[in-house]
Amino acid sequence: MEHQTINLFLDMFKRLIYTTCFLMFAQVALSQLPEEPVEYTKKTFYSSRIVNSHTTENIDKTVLDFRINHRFGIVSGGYETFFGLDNATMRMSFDYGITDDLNVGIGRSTYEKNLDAFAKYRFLRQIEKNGNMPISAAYVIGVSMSGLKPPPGRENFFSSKLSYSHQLIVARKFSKTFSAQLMPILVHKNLIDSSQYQHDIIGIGIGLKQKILPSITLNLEYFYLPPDQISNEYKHPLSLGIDINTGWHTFQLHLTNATGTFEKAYLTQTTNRWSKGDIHFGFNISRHFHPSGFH
Amino acid sequence: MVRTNKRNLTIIFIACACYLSSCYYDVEQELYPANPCDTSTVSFSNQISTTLNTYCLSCHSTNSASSLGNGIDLETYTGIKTQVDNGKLISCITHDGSASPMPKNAGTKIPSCDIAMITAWIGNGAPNN
Repeated sequence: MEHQTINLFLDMFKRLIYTTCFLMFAQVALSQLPEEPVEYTKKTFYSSRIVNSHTTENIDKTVLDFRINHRFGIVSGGYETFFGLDNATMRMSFDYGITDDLNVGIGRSTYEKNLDAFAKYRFLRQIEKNGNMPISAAYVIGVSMSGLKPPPGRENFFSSKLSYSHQLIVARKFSKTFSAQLMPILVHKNLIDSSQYQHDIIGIGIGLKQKILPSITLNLEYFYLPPDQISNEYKHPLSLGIDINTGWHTFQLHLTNATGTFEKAYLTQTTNRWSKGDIHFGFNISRHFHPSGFH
Repeated sequence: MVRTNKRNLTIIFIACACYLSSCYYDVEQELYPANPCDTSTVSFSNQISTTLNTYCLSCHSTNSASSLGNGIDLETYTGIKTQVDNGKLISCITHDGSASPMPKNAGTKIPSCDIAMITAWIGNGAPNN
């Protein structure tokens, strides 16, 4: 009887050892399995701009993006100006991806003969799978330098040509077809006419994207400026457009009341009114150049 | 990876520091106190022609009017008088909404004293003096 008890005890002990060993090996084996990679949300917007404003979309590391933002004259010019097509303003620019999250760019506009530069850092990225981040967010700083000749006969300073912008962008892709972003913005002008402007002008913008076909989206961009910051003759910029994505190209066609395409111009110097038909037909073309060659 | 991130952050920090230290709060009215705007002795050759030369002729010269200036020539008295008589000159520079605001690519109006000079000159019958 005593012998049987000892055998039973040994048997249980063996089973315990085997089970422990099995569990240990299983744990080691599981820990060596690769973790599921994080999948980030793609194409919250089709381009790094909605119409004039930045989005949280970045161009990839080492990719160069050549952009032309083109605005014809105002449609209400009628047949005399062929509904604005006789006139044009445009901005040519190069954006570059230092990293996937840090982009920089430089551009030249015919509007005010302006030279501008920006840096955009995306510090949050919405995650689709194997992670938990519901939004993307980026911060954009920009500087622009007017190239217009200052009035003659007075001492003019280089600093007077400069203005700056700070913009926070928070975006979310709500579904496969709908995305939205909020974009508070601050524009600082070094030199102002105090009868028309404050030095620091704040606004808040909204951008919407609705996909209507596999490679075509409808877009809206609007900025609201709280009152008493700029003269009443300046209006809030509102733009409607469509994006056509063809892989390495993105074509954006739109109607907008803003003439300039950089922050200071579209936010604080928009004089056209939608209600009077003073809108520009325009387009943005974006062409990506990959370091491995032309695609 | 950590080294790259630190380098990126350093670059961003230096850029931000340079960027933030370059803000000015200059006001035109204080920086350039205006001389009294005397509109009593306005002449085409002394004031009006000079103002239009400065702000308009990059698009509205005789040579560029057809390609850039929508056919509007502001280099000659005859061309200017045409735009005075049809009311477009004053509408454009005052941004009153009945014609395209000008200068087109400047975003803002020409100085208020220049507008006052042109208004006074038109009020005098826009003479070629």
